[in-house]
Amino acid sequence: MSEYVLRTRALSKKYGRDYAIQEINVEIKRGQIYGLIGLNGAGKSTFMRAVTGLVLPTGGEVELFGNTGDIALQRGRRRIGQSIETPAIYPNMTAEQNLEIQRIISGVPDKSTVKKTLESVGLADTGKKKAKNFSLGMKQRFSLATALITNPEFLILDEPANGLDPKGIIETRELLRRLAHERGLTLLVSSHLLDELAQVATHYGIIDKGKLVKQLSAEQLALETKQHVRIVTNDCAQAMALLKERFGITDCQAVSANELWVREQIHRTGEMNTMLVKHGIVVESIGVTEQRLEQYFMQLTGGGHA
Amino acid sequence: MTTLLSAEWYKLWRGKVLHVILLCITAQISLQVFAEFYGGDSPMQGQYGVTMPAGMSFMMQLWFSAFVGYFIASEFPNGTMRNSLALGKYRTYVYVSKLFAACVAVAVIYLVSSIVATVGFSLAFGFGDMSLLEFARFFSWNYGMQVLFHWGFAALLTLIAFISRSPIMTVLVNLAYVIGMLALPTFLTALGYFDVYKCFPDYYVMFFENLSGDSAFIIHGAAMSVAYLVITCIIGCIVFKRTDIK
Repeated sequence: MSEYVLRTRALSKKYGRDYAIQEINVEIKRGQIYGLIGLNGAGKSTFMRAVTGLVLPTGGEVELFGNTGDIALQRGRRRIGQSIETPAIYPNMTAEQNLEIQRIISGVPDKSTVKKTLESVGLADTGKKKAKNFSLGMKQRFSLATALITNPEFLILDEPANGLDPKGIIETRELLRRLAHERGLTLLVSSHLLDELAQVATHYGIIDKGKLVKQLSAEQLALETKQHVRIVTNDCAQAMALLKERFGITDCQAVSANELWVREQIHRTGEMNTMLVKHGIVVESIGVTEQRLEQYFMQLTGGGHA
Repeated sequence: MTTLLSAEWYKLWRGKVLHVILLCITAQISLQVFAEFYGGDSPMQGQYGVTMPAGMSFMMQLWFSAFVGYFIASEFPNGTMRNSLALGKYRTYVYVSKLFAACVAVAVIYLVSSIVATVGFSLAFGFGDMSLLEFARFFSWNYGMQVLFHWGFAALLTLIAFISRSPIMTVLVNLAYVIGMLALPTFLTALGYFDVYKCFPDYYVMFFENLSGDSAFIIHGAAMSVAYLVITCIIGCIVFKRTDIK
């Protein structure tokens, strides 16, 4: 049995002349919660669609549960649950009827699975309400139910918290954690709520303009976003030069026109301040801080909103 | 494959589309019976009710296209097409299961129309003098052949639904097709190529009432319908296999 649930090799999808995703190499091991981060249009959904066989890649290869090739890959997809982009529902049917269809398609013999699954996502009491009258949050939760009814080993969720209220977000987060721990599920999750994602993900892939710019574990991310000295000043270039000359600091980065991050000698913040002021540099603020996932992402992709 | 067919069967009966269309057809035929009863010029005995839907094939085809548009093509904008494909179901099987649903719907719509017409005209003008056995034979033959001929049309509709991937586009394209088919015989006759019309299922639907005793006509019609089913299915599967699903 392969330790990898998903591996892609140079996976690409082109629309006309433009690449939606380009040569993406992702590796997800069993039990990992893999957070896929990217701006709108970065290629997250296209990547998920290519993995689930909804779009046909123009290049590269997908390996699921160690299987490649058309037939084996389709067999592998039977072990996947997915919810990609807009929730897929029959608008004139109830939640129970919608889920019953999914149960029949996936060949789950036990009819009681429908009610149990609806209970697990908090939709057991929707009764005869038609799916077209559901709120976005209810649709999202229903979407999660369609992904779960097949009892999948690998769950692919695109923006599962989209449209949920704070309570719903917390519940979804707890559900994902529970699924990962109790059922040993592997998850591939994309989200705009990066700090929310940071609370569940064990690994990350950062995708920008169709390319995977970084793949790292939560531990590696913690190291990369480790504590640093944040200096807000009027002259970043001069301040950097002085820090290098006086303190021998090399790991120093201007993150914007007036903000510097120093990742060395963070215990000497006071001395740095005194030295900079002595040399006529205006220090508006200085202090030790920790980088958030959101800031790290912006730094890697050059800004914008995830 | 069986799971996909079962799902289509479930959707047919639990969904709204087929029920709404059946209601509309029942209302339409009932109105026609009333119109005939109150001064129409072609009263019909109930025993011939099964031939009535053939006489209104233009409307029947529009109802079929509404069904295919809102039952099959709507799966694309609703996103529900993803649910089976992402579960590793083969696209050929998915296509065939939708074609199966379209064929079942055609059979049901035709059956309900025939029954409503039979009952309606019987109430209005009497049933007629056929024995029960004679009537059963007449009804089954007419119903069976009409359904078979309409399956060719249903196959074409399904292909259009998979190409257009939009309910409204499916209905509009089919409307254009049905209107085109009304004009085609005159156009082809003027050009001296009327035989070309025999390549369309509409020809067999249109002339069934007059040529139902002609075995060559029946064999050609059946062969043409099967050919439509097979050819559109092959084209549809090829197209669908190359389609990206949003």
